[in-house]
Amino acid sequence: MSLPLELQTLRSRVGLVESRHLEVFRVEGVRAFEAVDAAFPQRVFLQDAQVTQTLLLADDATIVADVQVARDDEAFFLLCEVRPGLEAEALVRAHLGTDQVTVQPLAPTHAVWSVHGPWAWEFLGEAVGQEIIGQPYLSLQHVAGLTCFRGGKTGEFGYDLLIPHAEVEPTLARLREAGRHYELGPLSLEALDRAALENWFFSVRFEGLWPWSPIELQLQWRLWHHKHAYRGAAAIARKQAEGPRQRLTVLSAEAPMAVHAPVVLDRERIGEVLLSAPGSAGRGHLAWAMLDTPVAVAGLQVQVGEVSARTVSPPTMQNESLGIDPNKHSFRYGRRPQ
Amino acid sequence: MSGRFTDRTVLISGASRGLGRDLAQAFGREQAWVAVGYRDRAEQAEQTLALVREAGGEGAVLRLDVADAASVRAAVEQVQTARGGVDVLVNNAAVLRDELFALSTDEAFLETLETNLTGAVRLARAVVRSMVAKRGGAIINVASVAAVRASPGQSSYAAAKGGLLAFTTTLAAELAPSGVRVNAVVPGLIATGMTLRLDARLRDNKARWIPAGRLGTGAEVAEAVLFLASDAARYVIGQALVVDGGLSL
Amino acid sequence: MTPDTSAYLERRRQVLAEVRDILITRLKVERAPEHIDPDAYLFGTGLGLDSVDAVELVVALEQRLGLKLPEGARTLRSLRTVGTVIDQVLGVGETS
Repeated sequence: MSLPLELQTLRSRVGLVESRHLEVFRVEGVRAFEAVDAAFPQRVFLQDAQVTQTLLLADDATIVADVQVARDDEAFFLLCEVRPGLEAEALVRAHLGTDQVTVQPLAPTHAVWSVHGPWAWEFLGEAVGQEIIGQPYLSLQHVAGLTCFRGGKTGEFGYDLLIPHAEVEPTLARLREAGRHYELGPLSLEALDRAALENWFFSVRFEGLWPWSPIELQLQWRLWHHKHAYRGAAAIARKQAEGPRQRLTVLSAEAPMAVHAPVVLDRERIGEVLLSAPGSAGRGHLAWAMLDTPVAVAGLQVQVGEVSARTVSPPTMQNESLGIDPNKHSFRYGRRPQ
Repeated sequence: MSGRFTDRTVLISGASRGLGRDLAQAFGREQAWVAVGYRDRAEQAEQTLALVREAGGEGAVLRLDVADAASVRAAVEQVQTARGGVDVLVNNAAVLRDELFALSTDEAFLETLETNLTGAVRLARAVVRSMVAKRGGAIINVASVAAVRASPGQSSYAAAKGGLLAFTTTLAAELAPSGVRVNAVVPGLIATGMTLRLDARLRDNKARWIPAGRLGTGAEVAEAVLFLASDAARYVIGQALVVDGGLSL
Repeated sequence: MTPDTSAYLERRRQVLAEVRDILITRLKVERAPEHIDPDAYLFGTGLGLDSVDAVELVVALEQRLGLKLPEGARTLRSLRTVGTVIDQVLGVGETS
């Protein structure tokens, strides 16, 4: 399947992918909250079934893992995407830093399959259970023998299904059966990451971002400033006190912008391109660039090498999911938003 | 064995799924002939009809968009041709639009009214002459607890359902002399399609206020509808029977 | 840097400060102004605002920044991040 076709599936219908990149751990024990609270820079004082998005940092505050923390009664699920080359279980154990909780990797017993797209809710409502339709963003629920996490980093409806191995085949059979009515297509990790880039979502696999911290990457919302004990906290505090010297900014242009190309404003070099991709639906080109803070704002005309570009406020695309009301619209029955 | 509605003709709008399906099935158990109204979901309507037959009833699926006057006329004509009239009409079809009033539009408000209120009125008008001619019949309007207990974010839905209750009492008084009874049932939070599609946090929050301690079932609402439609309720006119586990108290 | 660019940057800084202040004082976002990133998502992810906050935000933007926003939830589609709000106020931006 080609990337453009996968993106079309993701942006206008429903796509299915086995999420091997998402490693899930379950943390249990009377001190589970304390351990999770100490490990992550985000507030993890969650209601039952609530999910929050956070990170794991190295001592220099660079990002080593992109993590969703989900509370399940008195236990926690950690949905981890770690920087390629790192080992998730070792990383999680090192950050939790206690032997007073049990950390159970779920890969030996479960698989994760994910469903993304503007009609993912309707498709899963049919294939798995109507309860999916009312599931709030950033929450989990146990339904039909599996655990469904609603989240996603594509700008469209997104669900990660944690499925016991014995249930994988029957579940996939149900998904494929219902999928006939939704033109269900396969997705790759590459497509998910491209969608993240188009929609201004961080991916731990974006190599160009590896040298930077949440402060420059505009991910301060994944931190909680009252926390000071997690790994990387000292570096974060120092950077926050100084204020970021550079800040990640999105560029839009008619022509491709090369990675590492300098960004020039009024003949002054103000930064360089870190990531680059064709724009959504084949329109124009996008880049993420690290720019000097005073000029890291939308609305400026700049030069990227030979290419004229403009700094813009992300996300640059209007996701179909934004216009969908599950009480009103339906892919299967031809009631799509105008 | 004979049921309370053996061979009676029952027309239910919005019966392809959810509460409508449970109502159809309940009438099936009473051996009624059920017209299973649906807008888009033909396949699901067929499944409802299969359940009706399994329960001991008969019937047919009926394409019926209550927001479309021509569709309503055609559907009712079809039933009358096949069955010679309608004995029981259950106005069940409804849509829900959750939106905060300050950010809402005329368009969305009118759309909700068109299906939930005007649609019921339209369907009642289409069957009423044949009921009057036969000096008998029952119309049951499915309202909602949202009409009587505040439900933030659902002002259009509540207004439509409140309108449906007012319509019920007035029409009941007007038609009672002709032998046609009009009543309403007021379901609370029912563990069926529409409630399941609500934001789970809002639903669970509301569910905590139900004195009965749980969501209701479609079958429990159906019991009330069967009663109101039956001869046992021959002296019950223009009432709203609340089936909500105490939520509205 | 040209005088035009400097003036634009200054205007943008002022509006960013206003929007951050609205978020903190009216919408009770529990963060220091400088901890609210200029391109942070407002709803769901990011700052995690909900639909009740949306009403507050729209009202505050109309009152304090003179924005005229169309009725209907559609208006929220142009208010996705802090930055898109600033774009609306300044009349710049390109959302496809």
